[in-house]
Amino acid sequence: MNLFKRVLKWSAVLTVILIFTAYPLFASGAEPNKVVKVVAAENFYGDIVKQVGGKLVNVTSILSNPNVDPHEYESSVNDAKAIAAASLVIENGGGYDDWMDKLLAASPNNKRILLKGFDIATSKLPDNEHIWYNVNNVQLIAKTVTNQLTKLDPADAGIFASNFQTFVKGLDQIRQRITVLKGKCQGTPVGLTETIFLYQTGPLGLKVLTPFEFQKAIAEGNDPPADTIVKAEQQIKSKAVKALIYNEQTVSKITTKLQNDAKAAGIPIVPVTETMPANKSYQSWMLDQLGALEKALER
Amino acid sequence: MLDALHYPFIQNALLTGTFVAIIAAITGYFLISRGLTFAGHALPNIGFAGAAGAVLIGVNVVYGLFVFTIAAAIGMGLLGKEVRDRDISIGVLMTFALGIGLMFLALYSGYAQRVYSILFGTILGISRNDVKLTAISALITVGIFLFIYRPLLFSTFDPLVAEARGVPVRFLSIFFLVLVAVTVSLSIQVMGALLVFTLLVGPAATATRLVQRPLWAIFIAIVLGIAYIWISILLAALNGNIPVSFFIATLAFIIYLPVRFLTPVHRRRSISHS
Amino acid sequence: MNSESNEPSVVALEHVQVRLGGRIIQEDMNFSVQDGEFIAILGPNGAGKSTLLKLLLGLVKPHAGSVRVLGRAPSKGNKDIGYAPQFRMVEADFALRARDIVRFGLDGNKWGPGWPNRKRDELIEQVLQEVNALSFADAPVGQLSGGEQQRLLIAQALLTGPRLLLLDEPLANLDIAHGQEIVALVKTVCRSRNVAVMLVTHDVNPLLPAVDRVLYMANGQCAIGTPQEVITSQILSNLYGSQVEVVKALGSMFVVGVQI
Repeated sequence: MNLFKRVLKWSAVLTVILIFTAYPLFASGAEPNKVVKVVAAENFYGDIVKQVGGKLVNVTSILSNPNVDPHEYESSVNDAKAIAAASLVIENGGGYDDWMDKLLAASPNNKRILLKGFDIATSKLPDNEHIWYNVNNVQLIAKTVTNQLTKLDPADAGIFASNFQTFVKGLDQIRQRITVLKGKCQGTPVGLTETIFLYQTGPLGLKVLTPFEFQKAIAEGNDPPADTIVKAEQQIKSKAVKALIYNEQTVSKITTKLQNDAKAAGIPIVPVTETMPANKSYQSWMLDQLGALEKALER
Repeated sequence: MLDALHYPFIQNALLTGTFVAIIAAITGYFLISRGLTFAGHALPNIGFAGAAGAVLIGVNVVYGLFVFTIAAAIGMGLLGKEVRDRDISIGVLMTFALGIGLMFLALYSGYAQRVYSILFGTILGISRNDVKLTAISALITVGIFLFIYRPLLFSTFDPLVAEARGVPVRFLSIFFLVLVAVTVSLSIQVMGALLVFTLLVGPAATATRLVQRPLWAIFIAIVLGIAYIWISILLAALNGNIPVSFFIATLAFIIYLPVRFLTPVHRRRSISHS
Repeated sequence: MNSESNEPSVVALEHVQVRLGGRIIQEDMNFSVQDGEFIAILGPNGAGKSTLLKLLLGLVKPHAGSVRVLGRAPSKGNKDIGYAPQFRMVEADFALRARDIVRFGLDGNKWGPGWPNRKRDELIEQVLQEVNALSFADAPVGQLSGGEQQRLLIAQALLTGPRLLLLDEPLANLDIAHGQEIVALVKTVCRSRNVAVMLVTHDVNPLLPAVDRVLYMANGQCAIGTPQEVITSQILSNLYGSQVEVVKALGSMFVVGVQI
């Protein structure tokens, strides 16, 4: 074996040794035991659990970056580790986050509790998995979380219960806001780039002009049928809609064009997101969006 | 490191990765020797189309992967004999498949995330059951390679003489492509369709620059492949965020490059004494 | 008393017609080859020289007539035939040793990986020595010269102890010195093993000292005999159907008037 090959062989051996010795430098410390480890597929579920569990839960949310399209996601070791350690996992289900199934299968744990928001929700719109945009669904989910946390940590049942009450009070604020806005703007025509906000346009009594096929296609990451694109653009150009509600995370050339058309026509754009922005809570997230919508409709 | 090894998902990843590295190395050696590396790029893309089709009709994506890649392999084997023709027919087949895949995606009304996961691989989402299936498939594939080893090597080097000596050259070349299809379909779980080429060809390309004898080249390719997988998974476990397939592709590249430039190939001037 | 019918010819063709893509390449071939004969096959491109070899190997079927190799119809994988096809330079980084290439001739067509075998290795050593290739037996084949690779192909063809050796243009890419080496090697093998040799070439001159008979194929016809008998202006003009001159100078023969 010539010199070069020998060097290669020893480099390989050295590399392996280095990794073994360097590991202690990177190893993280141990976790305290009392806390319930929870993994949420999306950060709004994570927030719900945090609000109910407070200091008694340690929540890892996998999708927490509103800039990533949640439909085209790839997992990391940290996510997989969190799932392996979790006693409670909450995801949306309904085909929205199938990647969770593989991660769960890779770390089997029959003591782990799995909650699926979509299955718990009772208000479901056709072809629309974004059930967390409906306040009543969220309350049901929070109640289920409270029950499960109580099962896992019965000693703190009282704390969970009172946290839940506080949580519901926050939800009531959203309900009030919706009622007020409905009173002011009921019947106003609006445009939607994607299906998510339909869960609120209904309670708000707004008239959605954008063809459903258009919204559905955008939600699925496909190109909408050509005639619906034409219709949607027409509605913008002729100012038939008073505002364009724009899903910032499910973006394509077509939605961008719609956005630009709206700007050109002077139609206000109301951005909404699928996952929760950082430094907000579920309630403040929804309230802020409703506030922006109110401003736009009052122009 | 020992800490990471406690997690079942890491163990599953290491096991599956090892089996996949072994069959990828053997397949890669022959792909390079037969001048078919382009097929190693085309088949994953075709597999992607198959996955999209599977999702459309509601079956497991793995079935779509296998069916499409094997069908394409047979098509490639039947279509071209000369290397030049082969490249063209492979390219045409691949773009046709991609077009069909696009149509499947458009027809499917639902989130196509299961299809996109084919692109990147799901090495951290492998269950014990997946490990068992991969192990069995890998074992069978290795067994088949052992069985066809000599005639395959012979017909790779000189198809004309091999045929004259009774080797079923045409059948072997189609059958080999089917083995490539199976290897690709299994490897996509680990690497994803976009990067599987690097696991297929990287270790074997490095090995053939280092040694001349086929068994040694295959052995070194296997060792390299397994090393890349293990080091990458453990590095990813250390870091926590960077995807595993990135490490594998990078390792394969940074080891191939110096080997490529430091092992020059001269043509020997013959000094004959007669 | 030895009658011809007791000892089957190594090769026997009777009224054989060969077609390629619908075109008649050879109309009516009749000849036979005996043990230990060294035959050169000559003729212009497209005359069917390589096709004749493929006929004998069972890779191609005749359109009419009977072909007999060692008393039987030609079949693929006949161990009694050694074949070295038209040679092309192997890619420089092909990962195989010279020795491994030669070994193919022995067991390349057997299934399974092939376990280490002393007898087999000895056989390979012998044949490598016979073709004078021991000095580069362990070198990667891509790094060998044309002449060296040609010797390996011949060694490969000899491994099964054939009774008929078919060589397709073995001198094509070699310079004169190396060409002479190969001719001498083939002559030695032919005599020492008493094996019939049919060698396709486009220039008969390097072979004149070694060859027994020549088979000249052209224009759908063929003629067989010693070089002096066949390579004459008269015979060749008949074959080609046009004016051909054979010029002899300094011990060499030159065919003038046709594209070879």
